[in-house]
Amino acid sequence: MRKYAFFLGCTIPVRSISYEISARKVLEALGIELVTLKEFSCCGPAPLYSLDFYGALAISARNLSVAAEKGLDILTLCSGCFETLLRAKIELEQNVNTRKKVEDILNSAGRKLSTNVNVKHIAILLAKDIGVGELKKKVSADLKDISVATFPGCHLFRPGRALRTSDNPQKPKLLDKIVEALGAKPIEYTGKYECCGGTLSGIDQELSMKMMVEKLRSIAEEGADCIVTACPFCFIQFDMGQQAAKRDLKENISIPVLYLTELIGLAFGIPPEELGLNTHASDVSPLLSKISRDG
Amino acid sequence: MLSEIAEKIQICVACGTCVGGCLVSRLDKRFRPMRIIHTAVVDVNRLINEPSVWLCSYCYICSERCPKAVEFPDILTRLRNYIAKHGNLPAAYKMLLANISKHGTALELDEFALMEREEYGLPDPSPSQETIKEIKSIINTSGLSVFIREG
Repeated sequence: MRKYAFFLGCTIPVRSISYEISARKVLEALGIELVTLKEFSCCGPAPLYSLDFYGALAISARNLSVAAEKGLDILTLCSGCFETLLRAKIELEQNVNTRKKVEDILNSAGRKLSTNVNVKHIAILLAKDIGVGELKKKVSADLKDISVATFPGCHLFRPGRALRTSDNPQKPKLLDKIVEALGAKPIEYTGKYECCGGTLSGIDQELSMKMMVEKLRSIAEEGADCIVTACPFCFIQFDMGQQAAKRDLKENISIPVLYLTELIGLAFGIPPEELGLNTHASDVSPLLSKISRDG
Repeated sequence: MLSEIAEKIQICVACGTCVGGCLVSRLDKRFRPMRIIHTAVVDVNRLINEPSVWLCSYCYICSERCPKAVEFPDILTRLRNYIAKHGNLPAAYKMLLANISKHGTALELDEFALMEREEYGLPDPSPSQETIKEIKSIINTSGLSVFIREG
């Protein structure tokens, strides 16, 4: 049985638990064991790097060291945590001067630096390591009438030179391949491969909303039954953002937003309430009524 | 810190590809990656009072398309280190750091969150006291410390 140090990050356990609930269910069905560690902290996100590069890198490096010490690879759900931790590993392994500086900071905190650990995002684990063929075998619900607007987001794929998740980091097909394996129909729409605007909420809310609403409109135009993301920031942008757009912009679009692991769970025949779908801001019932179970 | 990026910003040939592919640039004319690079080349101190440096969404499209591999977002991160130390930084970033220093994570798992998690049979993943102590120590011995002291 494969075993991972489960890196939850900050946002999911507090603001978006259905990603964690559904991921645990789906991975259990696939025979993956998850270890929750109270030694993990925040990943050391991009805003922290903007304040002080080496301090932020030391926080990321500490998380790598925790997993390395346990002899476990890291599994993330959040694309932001994935990019941060994988790039920290690469930076520390390629740049001797940087490594020395970060090592000094860590040592003074009583931690030994180790980057001897792999960093995986759940979409990569599912599509590449486990493989879409294995996912297909577990499908028991009929999703053939479901049009899915996957939203790949940025940090699972870019910067491509470092992350190497997709052959084409500007047009990644990873999520579509999984959706296809589940028997649903992935669709194209304007803005699919752009940023959701999540990084700018809290900096410039109006701009952040504009970035999301543009996509929401083009997704609605293409008649998608749901939006599927693999990152809590993209999810919150679309899920809670729709409610804000209704209130502030009189934008009357309602599209269910799902995490990738929720759609997989539904395809596997796991009941919606066991996946945490009732915790969403968007109404998922129009989607659920189109899925026939045990089909 | 700036010496580490000095060479990289010099290789920009001002082709404008970064601006052309930038979603933020399309929606907000205050923000232009190329202009930030060029201002930094002339005199980085001119960026100290420039609010648009905080508008990058870090989508890395410019970085993918740049014919000279300038990697604008990563350069901007280093420029922001300099700018922030001169007092120009978003309040949200300062608050984020304060939370991480206090809880080990950006968002505290309060009683309500823990109760909701328990309903779904999820474990308590909050960082241990020992974890928080190490994080505090990292913040205090690194350049992050100045943003805590300022309150």
